[in-house]
This record gives sequence, C-alpha cells and structure tokens, in this order.
Amino acid sequence: MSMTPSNNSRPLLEVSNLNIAFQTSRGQIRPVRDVSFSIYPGQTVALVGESGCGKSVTALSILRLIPCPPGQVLGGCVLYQGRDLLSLSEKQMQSIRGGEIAMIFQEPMTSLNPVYTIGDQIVEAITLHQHVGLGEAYRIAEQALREVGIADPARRLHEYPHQMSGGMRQRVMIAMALSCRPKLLIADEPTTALDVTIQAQILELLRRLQRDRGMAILLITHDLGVVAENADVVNVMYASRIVETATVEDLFDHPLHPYTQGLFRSVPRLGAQAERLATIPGTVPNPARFPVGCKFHTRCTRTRELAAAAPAEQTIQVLCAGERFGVLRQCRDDEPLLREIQPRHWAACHQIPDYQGKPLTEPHLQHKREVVPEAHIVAMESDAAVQEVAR
Amino acid sequence: MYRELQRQGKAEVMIHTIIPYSPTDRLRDLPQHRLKPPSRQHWLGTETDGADLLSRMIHASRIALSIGLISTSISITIGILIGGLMGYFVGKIDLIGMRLIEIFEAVPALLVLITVMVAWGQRDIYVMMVTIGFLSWTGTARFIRAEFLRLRQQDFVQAAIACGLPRWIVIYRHILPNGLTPVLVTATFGVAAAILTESTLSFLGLGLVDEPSWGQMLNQARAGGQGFVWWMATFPGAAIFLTVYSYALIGDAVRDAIDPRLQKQE
Repeated sequence: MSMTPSNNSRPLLEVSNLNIAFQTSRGQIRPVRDVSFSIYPGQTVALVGESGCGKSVTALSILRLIPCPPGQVLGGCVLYQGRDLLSLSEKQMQSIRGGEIAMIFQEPMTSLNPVYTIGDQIVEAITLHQHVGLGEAYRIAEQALREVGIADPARRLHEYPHQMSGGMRQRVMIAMALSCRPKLLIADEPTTALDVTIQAQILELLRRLQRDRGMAILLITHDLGVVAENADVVNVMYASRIVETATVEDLFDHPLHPYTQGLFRSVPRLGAQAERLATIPGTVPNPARFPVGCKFHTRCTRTRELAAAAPAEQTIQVLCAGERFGVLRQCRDDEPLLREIQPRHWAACHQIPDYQGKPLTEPHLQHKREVVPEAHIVAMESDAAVQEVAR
Repeated sequence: MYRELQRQGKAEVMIHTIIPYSPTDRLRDLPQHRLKPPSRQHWLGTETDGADLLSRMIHASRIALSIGLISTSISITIGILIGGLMGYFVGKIDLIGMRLIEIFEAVPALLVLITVMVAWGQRDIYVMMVTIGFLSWTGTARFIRAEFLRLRQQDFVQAAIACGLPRWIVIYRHILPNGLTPVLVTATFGVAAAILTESTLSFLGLGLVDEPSWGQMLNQARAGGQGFVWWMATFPGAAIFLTVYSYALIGDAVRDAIDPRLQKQE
C-alpha cells in the first residue's frame, strides 16, 4: 500500500499534550494524560482501546462537551485549523459544533429526541448553521436522508424516532451530522450498538461519504476489524495514554507495544485449533488507582519474560489478579514515553530499542491509504475477511 | 331595556340569550323583589339587590374560570422557568433555587393575598390573578426540576449540544417537551385550587365589587340582611363544588392516563 501524500501539509486537527482531570469526592482522576495526535484533511484516524481507557473523554473534550465543573483541562491544546478550541468562547464553539466538526454517538436508540419528528430535528441542525429558509431546509434534509440510503425520505421526514430501527436511526444521526458539511466527523463507536450486517453498511456509508466530501474522520472503536477496514492511522490507547501510533498497515503487520500484541493475539482465528482463547492477563485498571510507572506493567507478558531471564536486582514482584509476578524494575519505576521505534511508528515501551535511522521531519502521520475497492467490502462470515483482519 | 322596547312593539327582532336577566339588572328601587326565594320568574331566586341569582351565577362562572386558568398559566410559566434552570444547571443555581422555593412555600398564600387585596385599594382582577400565580409556582418548579435532572443525562441532550444548539434552545425546546407530563397534572389541580382561593377571597369581601362571584354570593347568604337565605348558599355553593370537583377529576384522569403509558414505554 503506498503512502498517498495529501494536498495540504497542515493538519486539520492537532491535539497536543491534552490532559483532562475530573474532580470527584475521592480525589482527582485523570482519564486523559498527554494525548497527542493529528488528523489531516481526508484522513481516517482511529483511536482504539478497551472500555475505560479514555478515548471517549478525549473525543468529547475536542468539542468541549465535558461538563466543566467536575471536568477540567489541565493542559494542552486542541488546534483546529490553527485555532485553539480550548480557548474559544461558548458561542464560538456552538458555531464549530455541527458546522465544522460533527459528532455521532454510540447509542442511536436514544440519541434522537423522542417528541420531535426526525425532519424537525435535521432541519433544526440545518437552519442553525446555514442561512436557508424552512422549505429549503426541508429539501436539504430530504436530500441528506437520501444520501445516507434511507428509502422514501419524504415520508420518513415526518416520522418519529420510535418508528425506526436502530440502523435507520444511526443513519439519521449521520445525516444530521453531515447535513452542514463538516470537515471533521468524530464517530464515537458508531456501530457498537448495531448488529454486524448493519455495521458493515454503516461503515461503508461513512467511507463513501468521506470519499465524496473529502471529510476527515476520527473513528473511536474497540473493534480491530473495523479499524482494519476503515482507518489510515491508528492510535492505541491504554489507561489514559496513547501507547502506540502507526499507519494501519504497519500496526497490523508488526505491532510493537505488548498491549497491542496482546490485542492481536486475543482475536480468535477461524479454523485454528485451540483449547483456550489467548487473553491479556488481569483487567483494565481503575482510573482512580492507576499503576505507577508504566500503566501496563502489571499485565505485560514481555516484562515478565524479560524479568525471568534478568538478574534479581533488576526485577521486582507485583500483584496481578491475585498472583505475584516478577517484572523489570524499570517498567515499574518509570513511565515510558512515545518514541519513534521505526519510521512513522511510535510506541511507548522501555523494552524496545530506539530507532536508529533519520528523524522524521514532521512529527505526525499524514498517511492516507489507497481507496479500498467496493468488492473488498466484507460479507459477514467469510474466512478470507477474518484472516485479512487478523493479519 | 330591549324588553321594554319589545313590549312597546318598537323593536321587532330580538335575539334572546339563554340568560334571562342581565347580571347588573338590580331592582334597588323595588324593594319587594329583594331576596325572594325561587319562583317562576326567577328560577333560583333573587339576591340582596333584587338581581336574578341564576344570571349572576352564570356570569360569575366567567370570573371563576378566567381567574383559575390565567393564574395557573402564570404559575406554570414561572415554575417552568425556574425549575428548568435549576434542573439543568445543577450546583449553585440549584441551591439558590431550592432556597427560593422554600421561601415561597413558607409564605401563607391566603394571608398574603388578603394583604395585597387590601393594600391595593381598588379591586383589580389582574392583581388577584398575578398574586395567585406568583404564590403557587413552587409545585410545578419541583416537578420540572426532577424531570430535568432525569432528562439531562439522556443521550439526545448530548447529541443536541454536539450539534451546536445554544443552551437555552436545548433546555426549552428539547428537554422541556419530554418533561411536561407531571405539569399537566399539577396544572389541572392548580386551576381547582385557584378557583377555591378566589371564592375564599370573595367570601371575605375582598373580591371584585361589580362583577358577580360565587364567593360573594355565599357571603350575601350569610349577611344579606334577613338572616340566612338558603337559596343563595345552596346554588353558588353547588356551583363551586361542581367546578372544583370536575377539575380534580380531570386531574386524576390525566394522571392515570399518563402513568401506565409511561410504564409501558419504559
């Protein structure tokens, strides 16, 4: 897969060292620490991680949807076309939300207001950001519904959300989000609540709309299959930090961070014989009580293997799921930073040697994949598709 | 006057209202017509000034209903405004709002109403409506606040904010229609309560002077001049009773219609 340079060399959205904290009765919780990534125009950037790693908080804080009495931005900036979104007034943010950056959410069943028709809701979004009359707004809404693949859009405009299925409601949400032609779409687990066939349709719809409009997408998901088909650049998050950043080909070809490797190992392969599924030992830590040092060290098999072969003074015992394991002292004492391990492939782990080649001129990835041909779109349970995913 | 003309053959076409007499058709100069019991000419009797009781009762229903509906509208509007703000912006605004609600609930509404009517001088119906409205908004505010606390967590609120809608539109056009159901119940009960309050005021002699009012007729039944007159107590009293009872029944029915449906939806 070649690297297709994009037209502009400036990122559309640049998140730098974002730190978010929540003040709770039990102290301060920091669900997002030093998160940095960039999104270039037309790119699809995936933010991957398990539940509780901070990816949704990151996405919500881009649009400043985190309520700010308990929430607080400790530092960092979010530059959208050069403007810091964190320093804009609420009124300026209202014109950005929906108009420049749109967001679709995880639960289509509850994301629409039950007492208004979907036509009313789409028209409200349209009239807010574009100066058109009501009749024209209804025409735009009908066209938007047609573009997302809803049949008989003129009739559907006058229906209520409870008259539609989950997949259709998600399409309506996409239509509403895209009706004002945003340049960036943040999709927070858009297909998690839908079944697999509808998931494939919705993702294919997003890809098509992205191609037609040159829109960038920030795709938040925990599903590696979705990432494989849709993303250009992948950021893997664990416990509030980004632990690996790479192009999607590099990530799937050779994941560097032990957490990412663990994720790939746990994907079951059809046709393989196994008695137990491989898992990552332990559980995701409570954000109020993250481990010191590397957040992953209590569950990391790489450090355990290295500790087994290392002299005793370099190891220390830690507790994981009730059992004691020896890990390297370095992994418990210091928190690893994201370093460029290979060209355009960053990982945060102490135990990987540094990249010895030339430093990159730009710190973030501008990579865009070649367009995937339509025939490649997955049919539900074909062997080839799963192996493509789990490569 | 038109009857005179008709009797004299001058006015040819006349449209009779169902109400046989004007409510201000007081026959003060003909004292023999005062306080007569029900008869063929005056179906429910006459009152102290000789005016027909039935006509006055029917006209009094205008006053009662208008006071009931308008003061309830005022109290609902205030309750929605304050309760909505409290429920959406929790925190300091909620604390201040609760203290405000407690202050207004601690005030004895009837006494304040009497004081206002006395202090105002003229008997103004609008003053009565506004005062009743300003003293009875707290129940609605509590309900709206509870509904808003529940609804602000819903996904569609977050989706509406993510679309870029300003806060006040999200509050009053998106959250509010979903949270109006308990207000329907309190509104109907509020109308009944307002009618009763107005009757109490008129009974105490603080109601409107010129316009007929049921409470005023009850007062005249007691102190008309000839001791207790039964027809002036029974009929307006029955009118008050039936009106308030009807509104209470409507409120019950609305509450019953809403609740099972909510359970089925959830």
